[in-house]
Amino acid sequence: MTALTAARGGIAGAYHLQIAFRDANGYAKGSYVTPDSVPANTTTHAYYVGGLDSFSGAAAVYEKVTIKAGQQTIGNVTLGISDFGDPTIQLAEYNEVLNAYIKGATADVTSVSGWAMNPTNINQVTFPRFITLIAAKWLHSTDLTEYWLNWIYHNVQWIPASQGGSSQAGGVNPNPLTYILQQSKSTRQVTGVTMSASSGTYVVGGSDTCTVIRSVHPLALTTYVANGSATTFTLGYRPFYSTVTTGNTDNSTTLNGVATAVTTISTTTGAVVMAAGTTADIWEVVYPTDFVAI
Amino acid sequence: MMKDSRLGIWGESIQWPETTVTGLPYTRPCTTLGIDQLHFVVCDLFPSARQEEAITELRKLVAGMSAAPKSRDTTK
Repeated sequence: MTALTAARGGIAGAYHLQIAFRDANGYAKGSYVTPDSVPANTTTHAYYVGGLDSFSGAAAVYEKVTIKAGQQTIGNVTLGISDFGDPTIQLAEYNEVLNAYIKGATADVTSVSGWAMNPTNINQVTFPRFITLIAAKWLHSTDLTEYWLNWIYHNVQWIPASQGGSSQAGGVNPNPLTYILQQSKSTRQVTGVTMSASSGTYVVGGSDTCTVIRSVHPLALTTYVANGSATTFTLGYRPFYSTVTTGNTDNSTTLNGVATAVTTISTTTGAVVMAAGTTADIWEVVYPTDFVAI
Repeated sequence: MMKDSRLGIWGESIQWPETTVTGLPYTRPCTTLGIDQLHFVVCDLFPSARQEEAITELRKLVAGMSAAPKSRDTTK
């Protein structure tokens, strides 16, 4: 596919919501609940949360100073952001896996067979960090082509704000659940590549909280932790493109945070073939997909 | 030897295991752990000590499969 040109367009809908555990170095570790200790030869994918009702982006607070003298306002100086703001997500579903993930606990399906017991974990003091991907449609204002807009929060902790309930009300989604995403900065993109003040998005200080990515199809995320001998792993969904060129064309493939071409990507089996490399190498693949599971 | 229902097999067409490594049902996509070049298991959504024990057990089983003596060639 040809390179995109920066443009304007309208946002529509709330479609896809995925989360990936984030390790201490900022790499995505899919749905592996202990992201800093993923065994070699493990393939893991961002967890598809589903049930997305709505999403509101963060309203950052910009601190300002107003200069006023002689009964006149001289001007304002914007000092910078004093609060990142909290994006909120509303879900139509009570998701037991998500609940356990964000509470650092377990949806217990083994203690009593036939039950799923879901904790509140009221004494929780350690909140896992996630990379969060939200996708909506985007209509190009001039050529009217449909794209996808992917909000990527690089480093958030999910805080339950309203945990729903039940009522006699009818209508659409009368019992939603609301979550707040508490943001932190990250020096690493969702692709694994580090941010820079002198390349890419040219962000000041080489870190950021959120990147909005436009693509022809929504993005999915797979991570493979190598064992030094295996030369293939499998994506979670069928990728839309088989392109491997330099690791940053259509599909993003990175090795330890550096764009690196793999040998092949199959659009039917999801198989990725690459060089064996070294034990504990981290391959991250961010790829456009229509979410057909392998 | 009968294949363990917790073991998957990589290949052109992946043979997915019937259950996770501890015997639980699962849906794809799922986290997988390669046991050797051919076999893999599906990890539980919430790993436990039971999972570690099961992985150890299956590693031994797979190692045993590859070390199993081949049938004798009686033509020689």
